[in-house]
Amino acid sequence: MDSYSFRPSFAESTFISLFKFVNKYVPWHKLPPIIGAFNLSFLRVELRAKNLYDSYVTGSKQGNTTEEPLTQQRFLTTRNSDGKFNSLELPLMGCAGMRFGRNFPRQDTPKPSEEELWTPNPRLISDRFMARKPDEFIPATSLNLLAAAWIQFQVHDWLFHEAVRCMPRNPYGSTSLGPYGLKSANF
Amino acid sequence: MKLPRTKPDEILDPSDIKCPGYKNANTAWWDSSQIYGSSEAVTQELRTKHPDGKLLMTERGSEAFVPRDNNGNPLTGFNNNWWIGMEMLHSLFGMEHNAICDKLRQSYPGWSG
Repeated sequence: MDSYSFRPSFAESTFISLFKFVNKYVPWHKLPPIIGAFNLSFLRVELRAKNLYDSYVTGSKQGNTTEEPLTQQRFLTTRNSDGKFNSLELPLMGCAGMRFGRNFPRQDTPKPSEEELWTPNPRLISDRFMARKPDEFIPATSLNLLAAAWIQFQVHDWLFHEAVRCMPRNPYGSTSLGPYGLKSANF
Repeated sequence: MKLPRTKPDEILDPSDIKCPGYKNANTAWWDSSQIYGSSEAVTQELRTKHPDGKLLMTERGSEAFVPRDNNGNPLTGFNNNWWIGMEMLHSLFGMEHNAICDKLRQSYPGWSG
């Protein structure tokens, strides 16, 4: 069995094409609210079909109704904290402990080599782009701290990968100091 | 400073060696798991024993705060990388949850929690 892939129904495909045509002239948010909502929901269906890829080789990992029967009737209408039964057809989809999905097919997302992983070195990025230069303050004019908090809050809802800790390589050599006099260990 | 590296999931298929999968400790659903937790056990711990289904908050007069464990860490669904921005949003959503509980109790006194 191949990776799980979602295919829109004939009716859904028809509405996707219809709204695509409408959107050439009117964007979804300019349509009357109810129709705009339908437009959004079909945009979602299309994104699900074309931009979401399962990260398991076989679709059976997402579970089915025979192997993962509904344990309590209340999960038909209430939240199950580990995400199970949010999809009644694929009960394990999106559960805590499942592999995170991708926006590209898995064969196009090979694991980076050691060299690729450190190119560019994160410390170099920090020094070149993130560090505040002397006498030069670059204000963020389109974004404030509330946006940063909100985005972090939403990402916390979404994912957290298991991690192994590692020391970053020092791009300036193992003992030398960077442009701001910081040793790698203090970075 | 140490940088965490994402841990690849165990190899379930030969193709996982080249293109690994990465497990998600949270629910991938946008289901407010950062507030309610990603397991039934955590959710139960965060809910007070109050029959109205409220979230546990430390209340001081009209103020309410995200409760803390013995080490001073916030008790919520997901508390990594905590700072004032997280404190603010978790407090806001916790208070909103409890305010909705109060409203539901007011309108439907017969409901269970």
